Amino acid sequence: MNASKWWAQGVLLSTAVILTAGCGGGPSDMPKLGQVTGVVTLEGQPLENALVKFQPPDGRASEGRTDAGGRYSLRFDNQNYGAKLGTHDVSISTRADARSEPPTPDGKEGQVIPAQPERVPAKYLKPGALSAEVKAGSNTFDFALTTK
Amino acid sequence: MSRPRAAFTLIELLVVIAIIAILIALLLPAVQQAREAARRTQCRNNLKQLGIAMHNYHDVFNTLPPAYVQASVADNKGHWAWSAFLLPYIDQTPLFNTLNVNGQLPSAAMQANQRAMQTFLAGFDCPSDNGPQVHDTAVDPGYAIEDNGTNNRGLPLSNYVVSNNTSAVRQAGRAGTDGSQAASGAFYRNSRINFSALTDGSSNTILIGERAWLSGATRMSAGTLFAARDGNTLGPFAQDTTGVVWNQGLMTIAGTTKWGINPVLPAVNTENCASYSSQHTGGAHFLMGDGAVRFLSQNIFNIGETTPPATINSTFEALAGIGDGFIAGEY
Repeated sequence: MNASKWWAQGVLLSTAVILTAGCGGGPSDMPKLGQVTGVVTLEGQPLENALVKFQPPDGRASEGRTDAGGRYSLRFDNQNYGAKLGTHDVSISTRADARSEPPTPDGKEGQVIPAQPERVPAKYLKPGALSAEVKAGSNTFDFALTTK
Repeated sequence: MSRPRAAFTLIELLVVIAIIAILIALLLPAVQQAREAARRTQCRNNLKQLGIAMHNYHDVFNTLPPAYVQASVADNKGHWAWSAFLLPYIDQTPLFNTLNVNGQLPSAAMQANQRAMQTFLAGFDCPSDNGPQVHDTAVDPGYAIEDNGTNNRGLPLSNYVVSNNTSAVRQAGRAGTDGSQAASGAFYRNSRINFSALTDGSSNTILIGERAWLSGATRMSAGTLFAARDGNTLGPFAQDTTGVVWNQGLMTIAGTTKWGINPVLPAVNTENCASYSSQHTGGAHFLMGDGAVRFLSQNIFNIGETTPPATINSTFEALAGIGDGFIAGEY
């Protein structure tokens, strides 16, 4: 009898220890993320090399850049893809300042890449012009921009 | 009647062994975390020392050191940076005198004493970071300066950069709220900010932030010590200069909040490399104006406007701005 009582106590204690072990690690303020992909078009044509940015009303923004087919996929930080759940102000912009390739190893200047003009119509550049609500799981937001 | 023998049964023994095994299993990860915790503490201490140095500098000159001092130099030569001016206040007076910071320009110092100019200082190195001690000119030719000739020489690595702006880094400064026109942070070209200019409160103003060698798996290149490289004789490259080169110049000694902490890097040598980052999980350390070191979460509220104006309207931007009047709130 004594042995089985010890046994039962041992099992109980070990279970408790194993359960609490899972609760280790500091508190994390990592928000829940939803995966976001989509296509940006301007007058039906894919908009290439545009920065798509989802800005939540409080928190960290997510951004992605469109490829030749206008497709983008949002990244949250340097480890995670997606965007915070909830409403977002969406901004799309192709504007880029002039920059240059890295200098060559002997220190000479790299080739200069000229500034990229803004191809997104001005009406979409105003704050609040575009918005999206990200839900848990996969989200698809296509933006069909028009010049009219 | 025989008494039961006073001894452990086999099952009792097994249970005790199992419990001990579980306790050891619990302890082992804690030991691993203790190593990172120690590195994090050392990083905080580095920033604290820099904070004390900043305050001592302020006691002497009644101003914080400038981000850099613009000198009339040729393309690719150096401008003295804030870290050189702090040397006497972090017990590096001999190095300060050897480099002759007050008497010659960085490229002359590199010519005269390359070894001193490439001194790696542990006080500017976050122990969690895994970058090289001196920038390799074959990897990051812009994180280097030319000596008096045209030999490109790498500068030592620094994991700490001063707070310049909320938009792309800027040479010109103004305590305004539009970072797309001029720097809204405490450090810029020839800046002479004293504590009374930190009208948002010195405990709510970032002076220095961390930047790691890597962000995710992409090279971010950290920062440089002592000097910043000139671009086209216009001073270190920044948004003010035309044909910006985003892998040299002001961004190697100063940072911006625009892309958040631990940013997404589309490639190496991009403007996003002017952000703050660290190898500590979930954020980075920042030195505030009152000398406090705070660990800010990478999920802090931040709005880095893609198109101008770069208004200060979020918590992280308010901490970088010195006189924006925006209430930072809880962070």
